[in-house]
Amino acid sequence: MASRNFKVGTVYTRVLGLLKSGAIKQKPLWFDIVETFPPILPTMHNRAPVPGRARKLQYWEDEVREKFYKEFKFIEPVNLYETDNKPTICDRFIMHYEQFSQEETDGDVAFAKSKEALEQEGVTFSRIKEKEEKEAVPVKENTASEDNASIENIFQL
Amino acid sequence: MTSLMHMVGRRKFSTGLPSIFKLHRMDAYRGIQVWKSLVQTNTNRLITRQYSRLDTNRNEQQSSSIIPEERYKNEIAAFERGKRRLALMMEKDPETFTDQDIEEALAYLLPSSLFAKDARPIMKHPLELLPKIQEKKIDKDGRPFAAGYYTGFPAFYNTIHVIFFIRFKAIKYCLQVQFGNEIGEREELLMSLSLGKEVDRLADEVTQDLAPADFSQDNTNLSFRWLSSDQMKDILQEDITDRQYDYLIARLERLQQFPNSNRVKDFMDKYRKNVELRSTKVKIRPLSVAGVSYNKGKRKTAVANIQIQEGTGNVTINDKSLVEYFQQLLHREQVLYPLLVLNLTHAFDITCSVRGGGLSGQAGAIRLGIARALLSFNEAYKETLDECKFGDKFWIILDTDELLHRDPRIVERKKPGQKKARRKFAWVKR
Amino acid sequence: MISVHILIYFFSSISIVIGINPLAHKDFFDVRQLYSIKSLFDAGVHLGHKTGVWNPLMKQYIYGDRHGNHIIDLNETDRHLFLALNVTSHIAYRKGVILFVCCRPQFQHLVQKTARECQEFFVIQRWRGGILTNAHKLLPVPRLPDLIIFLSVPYNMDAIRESAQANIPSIGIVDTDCNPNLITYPIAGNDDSLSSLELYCRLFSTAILNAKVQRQNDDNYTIDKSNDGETPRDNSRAEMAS
Repeated sequence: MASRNFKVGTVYTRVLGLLKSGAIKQKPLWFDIVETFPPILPTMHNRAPVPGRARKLQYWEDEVREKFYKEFKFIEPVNLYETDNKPTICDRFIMHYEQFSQEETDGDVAFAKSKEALEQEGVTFSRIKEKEEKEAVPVKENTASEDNASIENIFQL
Repeated sequence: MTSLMHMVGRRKFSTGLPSIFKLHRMDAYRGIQVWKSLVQTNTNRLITRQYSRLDTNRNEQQSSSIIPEERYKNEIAAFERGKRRLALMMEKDPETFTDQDIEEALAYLLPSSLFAKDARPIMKHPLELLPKIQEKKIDKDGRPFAAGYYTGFPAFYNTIHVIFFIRFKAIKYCLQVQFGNEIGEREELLMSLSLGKEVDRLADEVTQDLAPADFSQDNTNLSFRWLSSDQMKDILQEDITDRQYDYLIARLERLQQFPNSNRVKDFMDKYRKNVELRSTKVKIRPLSVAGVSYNKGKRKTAVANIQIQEGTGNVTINDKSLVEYFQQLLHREQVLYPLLVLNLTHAFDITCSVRGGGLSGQAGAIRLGIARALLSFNEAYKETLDECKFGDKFWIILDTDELLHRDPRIVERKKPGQKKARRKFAWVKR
Repeated sequence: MISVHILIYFFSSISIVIGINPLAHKDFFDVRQLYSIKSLFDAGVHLGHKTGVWNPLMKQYIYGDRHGNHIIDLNETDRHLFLALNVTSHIAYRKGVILFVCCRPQFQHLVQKTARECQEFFVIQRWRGGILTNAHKLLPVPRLPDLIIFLSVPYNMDAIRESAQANIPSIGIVDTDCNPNLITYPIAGNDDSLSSLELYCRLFSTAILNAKVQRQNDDNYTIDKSNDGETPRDNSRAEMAS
């Protein structure tokens, strides 16, 4: 028989009430345990949520990371089965950046110095901008005129 | 009772009578009382009436036992005694008196004209007739015995668990065999199978007695069929749902497909049954003196008479060549199919006369006839013709796979109130 | 309403060893040793769902929002997990019936195996409605569990409601998209990945087995196993059951 008693109080208070009133003669097995170790928050089926949202987790390293990945093209696969959390190239960059930024006030300088430091350790950088220049398609000249009209330059007429 | 006595006293017996039947009236009466105590009909009322009397004599210890042999000790003893008596009455050896003999004896001594076979006198071992003993569900500490108690289907989940466990053992062995002890980072490999750390932990529990030689492929057994839903419910003693049944069969099927599943044959045999191949009933006719094999084949309404001789591969149908008679490639292939499967198209000359039916039916009839006729030459062909291992050379899909099986499909009859066999009349709103 | 409670079996089978009351200790079964926050982190317990699917009731258990994913506060998890494991151990020590519930297909074998290892009970694949509140009809003997552990909350809301109706304390792994209100001892943590569920299963089964071993040792040392000075053990229903 379904009851709506579960909305009132907790399991503990209900059973306590039943014991006191004599509806149950014996304590359930778990009763003493729940009495001694009560939950941190008593169950309440209509408890209102704590207002507000969770805070955003943003760190100063995130800015550096953003800049790093924008500048340089690094697709480094990470083996997630390895649990020793080996630092990635970006992590190493940030370690250097942290040191340099303590000395330098200008972020860009610290950035460049960290890059040099990594290059000394043997990391080759390829800049995204350079690569884009190589792959750029040459723009065609506008050769349209009514003499040599064709489908290719039909919109240029 | 008087009619029975009458029957016993005045019966005309053709076989040699046991002396007991030349009875005086009083002896006959006593005889009947003996029957009553021996024989029971398969109705619950009678059983409970009989055994309720015996119940009171039962010992406390026996009544609480869950082992059927102990619990029903008295009934079993009574049965054994009755069996001996019956054997002696029939003047047979009581030691070798089988269940079949009991049936014959009862049919002889207590002939019944009742239509329902269940209602006739039977005498079976009590364990077959008495209800199964309900096992205790809760132990003395108040805890249920079965781990899946709260699911409602503990036996079902026990089976699932065993299958799962066996399968993981099998996976482990596959890996061992494949990579041996040379796996450098075996954990990574196990994980790459997306089994996770589960398998790694199970690997500790696995026994080491399986040799790589047991990693054999020979486990596909076509003559097995999994038990039906009702049979499974009977075994598990639980009313499992259709979904659960499908799930169980899927798990068992996956288990069977494993390379070394023949190691757990005993476990799987509990859940499957031998299926007699239909072609075991095929009779093989001997060759004639001249070395000709005669046989018949039927399909729909077509009947074909086949003669096969050793030859060069000529096929004549109703005095026409194969190519003349059957225009379509489909039909030509049907006719040649048994020979194609055996790779013997060059070895035999076939002459057939076929009547009735249409082209496809005649082609099917000839095919069956040829398959049957070929068996006369070499019984070993039966295996190939049964399973039809044609490899990858199929280019036309054929009707059935079993060449030795007479295709029972016929044209479905037209039903009244419908236009054809299935087609109904057009539905009209008014 | 009252009939529901008569269904519950009360076996106060505590054998109190002279001088030792497990309840008097804060951590009688040394549950602290079973895990560390690092082990929780390594198993990925802190990984919550995307922020868009969260349940606002989980706010106090969430550490923050990292690029659109909620991160569960492992300090909170630690507190709640310790409490839950402690309670589980005590109930196992008293030979209580503990029921593992997880109706997700990817974890069914894991849960079944865990339950069988520690000789407790499980419900996988489907929770039969009314198994607790309508036990007279659905179970051969209506013996209800003393503790229910939910390894996946959103798929088992009806079961959680039923355990509250039947007045059975529950432990539940609540992810950021779950409603923890009806669970007696919620534990905030990831309930979707195999690694984290394996961790929980291992923790619970170890705690239960340790408690049972402890119980066996204590039983061997008791001078008085009978119920002197305690409420008499209700054996009548057990006998009815047999």
